[in-house]
Amino acid sequence: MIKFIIPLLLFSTVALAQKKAPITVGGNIGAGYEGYGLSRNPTGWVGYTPRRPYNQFRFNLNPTIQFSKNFSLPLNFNFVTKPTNFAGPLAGLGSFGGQNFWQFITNPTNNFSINPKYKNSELLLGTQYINYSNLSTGDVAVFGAGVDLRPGTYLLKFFTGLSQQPINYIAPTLAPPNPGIPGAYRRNNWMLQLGKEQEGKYKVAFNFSKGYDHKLSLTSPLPTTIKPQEGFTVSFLNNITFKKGWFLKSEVAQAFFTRNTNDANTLLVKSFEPFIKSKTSTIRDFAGELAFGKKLKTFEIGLSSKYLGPGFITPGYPFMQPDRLDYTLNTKFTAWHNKMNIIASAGQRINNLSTSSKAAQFLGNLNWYTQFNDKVNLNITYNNFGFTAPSGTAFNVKNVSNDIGINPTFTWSNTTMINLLSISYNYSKYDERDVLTGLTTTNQSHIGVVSYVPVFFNKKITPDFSLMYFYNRIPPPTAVTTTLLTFNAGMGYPFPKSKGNLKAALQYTLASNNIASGNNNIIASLNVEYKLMPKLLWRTFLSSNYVQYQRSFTPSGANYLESQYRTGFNYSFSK
Amino acid sequence: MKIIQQLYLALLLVSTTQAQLTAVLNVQSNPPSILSSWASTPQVVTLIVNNATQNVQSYKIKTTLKSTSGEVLATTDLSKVPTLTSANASSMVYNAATVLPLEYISFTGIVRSSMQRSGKLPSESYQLCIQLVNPIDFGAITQEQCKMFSIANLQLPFVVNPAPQAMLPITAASTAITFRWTPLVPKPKQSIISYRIQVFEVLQGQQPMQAFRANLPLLDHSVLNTTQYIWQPQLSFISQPLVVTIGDSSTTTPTAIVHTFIWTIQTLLQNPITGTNTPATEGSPNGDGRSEPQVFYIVKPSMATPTHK
Repeated sequence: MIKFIIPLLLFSTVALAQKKAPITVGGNIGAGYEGYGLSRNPTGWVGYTPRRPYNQFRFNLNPTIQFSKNFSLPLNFNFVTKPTNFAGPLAGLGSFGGQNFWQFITNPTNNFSINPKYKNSELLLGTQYINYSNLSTGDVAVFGAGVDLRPGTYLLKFFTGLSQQPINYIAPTLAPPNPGIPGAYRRNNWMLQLGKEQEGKYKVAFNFSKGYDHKLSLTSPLPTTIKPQEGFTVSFLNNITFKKGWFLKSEVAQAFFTRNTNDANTLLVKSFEPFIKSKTSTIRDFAGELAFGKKLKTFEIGLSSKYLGPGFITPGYPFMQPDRLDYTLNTKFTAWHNKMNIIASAGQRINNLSTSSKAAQFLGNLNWYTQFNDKVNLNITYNNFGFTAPSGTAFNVKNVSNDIGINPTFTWSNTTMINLLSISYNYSKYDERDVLTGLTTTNQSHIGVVSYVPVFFNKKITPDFSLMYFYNRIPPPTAVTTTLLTFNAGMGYPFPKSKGNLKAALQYTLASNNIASGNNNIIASLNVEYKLMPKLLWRTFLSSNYVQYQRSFTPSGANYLESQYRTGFNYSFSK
Repeated sequence: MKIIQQLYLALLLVSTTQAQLTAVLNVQSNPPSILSSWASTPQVVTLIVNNATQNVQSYKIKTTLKSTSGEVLATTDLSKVPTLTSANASSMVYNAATVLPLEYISFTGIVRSSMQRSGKLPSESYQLCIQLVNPIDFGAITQEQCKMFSIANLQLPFVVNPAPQAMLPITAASTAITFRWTPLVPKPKQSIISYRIQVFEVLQGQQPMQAFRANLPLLDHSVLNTTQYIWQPQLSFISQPLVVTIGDSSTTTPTAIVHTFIWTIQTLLQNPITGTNTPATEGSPNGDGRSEPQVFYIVKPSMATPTHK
């Protein structure tokens, strides 16, 4: 790593020494406070739980210092004072004394990065989301250092760092009830891309990505369910754009993954040393992606497919679900003098490919937009989804969803105003088979929306109104009917001299179902943006959400008031 | 004559040992499909070896994995498995780490391929057989005993609606958003499936996966055995400025994204007796039962933000 950093720093110094133009600063910096409140009645009722932190301070420091035409220094420091991790190993840490300094620095909530850039080459320092390709790495934040060098048409990218701080295991307790901490080993990642690219013409590259846990990073007692893991992926991608709009994109990848590096060595899976040594829990599988088609201004068609083997697990995409084959045909075209626009796709996904219990999904979508004239346009959407799979019982899983939407929009005007009226109706039908009884329940929804937006030529105020009706029925034996009626009114107002704007909205919903009828929900919100100085913007947002359940609800008379308050300042360095 | 005497004594010893060393095997009827995980779950395989003699006894465990028709799919390499000993008048309890030591097992055919690629046994019924053998000549000490078990490779749900990258109109989404997903298949026996739907707001400047790992969910709700949930967001969508304008010149329906969400389903298996929920770790790369999260947007069609002519 030092070998990469030192030449680049020297490189930066030389670039600075050669500067002639004045140093300029762009980007922005900001800080804000977010408050949240939840009041529930009757006291002790926990039917609605808080969904934001009660107090939060958020800082966004994103200036870009431009030293010369070719050399810039973008900084990206975004952090909060209170961690709110819910999914992942940091969840629940707050009840055990909170995070330490390095956990704060590397918490996914926060970003601390500096990316000095000279021409089109970059030094990457701090938190980075490195995305090399769809099958190698792209979903993991890594805190570390690396480079993105592009000598000529060649690509040389490398990054290494830490994606997970160690978190010691804490056993759950019944009294007081606490789920404990599952624990996590310290995980390091590195990734490398070597290739050649000419923008708009081709890109070929080899990608390498590795993630590995440090076995000795935790103190005893060790986690019971979390094991130290290791993964390595190598892929080759190839994107080519031909003449007349034809394109071809492909990637093939091989992944090695060890579920527990404490396991004994094995010869069952051949090691790929020095990158990974096989253990009894090591697996090795491949994946591939292929897309080709034609893309013109008024016509587009393409076929894309993706295969992930049952053991394709890559540390760069930790949530990617393996063992599937997807293929989709997409098309998009315009007709009738560009007044008709059709987007359609149809495809299938097959899961559990490696087993006898294959599951198949069909996905079809259509969006058909037609502008008849200046006053009338029509949008039609249709979505179909079907899923079948063996269930292990006498009846297979079979779920089918059909949704259709029709949305005409009318525009008319006079000397003082333009009127926009949009009407939409959606019908949704969802058939779900109970695999134990074989009975299929049909869940039906009807959604109607009417929106009206008047725009006045001589007034700055911009109101909008909408009325929505939602009806959903699940037949017996579940037998649940839900009805929602929502009225929404909004208003926008620009302050004089382009000082900012104000937006306000009020929404009332009357909700009924089998359990409780006549539930009321009122949401009021206000958003103000005001320029205190030409470059200093003050933003404030207020929102309250009040829900009152009717007597048939248990507990009787339950209600809650949820409030949200955000205020902050943003200074823009740009003119 | 001396050789015959020694042979006689050896046969006597073996027959005595056979009579005094007993083994009892138990295998869960539906164990996890990932074979390497058996070692860390003691209750999957238990083997009790009882030594009723007054001597310390040495033996090896010969383990064989068979199909229901008796075809051998995997077997231990007896020359490599460690020799075990039982003290006199004692019982030893072994679990999968000892009974099924993967580093000493040879797999054949489709099971070998499956173990190399996914580390899982294919979804079938099997027999796990054990036999205690003499560590020197591998002669049988006990009768072979087998237990049947079945493997069901679970596939976590895939989120379906809103579809990945779907754009939901603000007018309808502010009242209700319908979530649908595929079920966990095949349905595990003796478990109630609880689907925990989680929706996270992607704040300005955040990557979707960053929001997923860092934020509190705006929705965290569990439903039992069904694959649909209608959410009333109870949110105001006026707060954030229009972040991204999408749609090109060839598209006559440009829209603006006003909010971004990322959602997932966490599948939990509820024990019908104790009521406790445990994540469906099978098929879950992270082991937390969460399906691959997907992003959807709340959009404002251009017609709702008209400009003066």
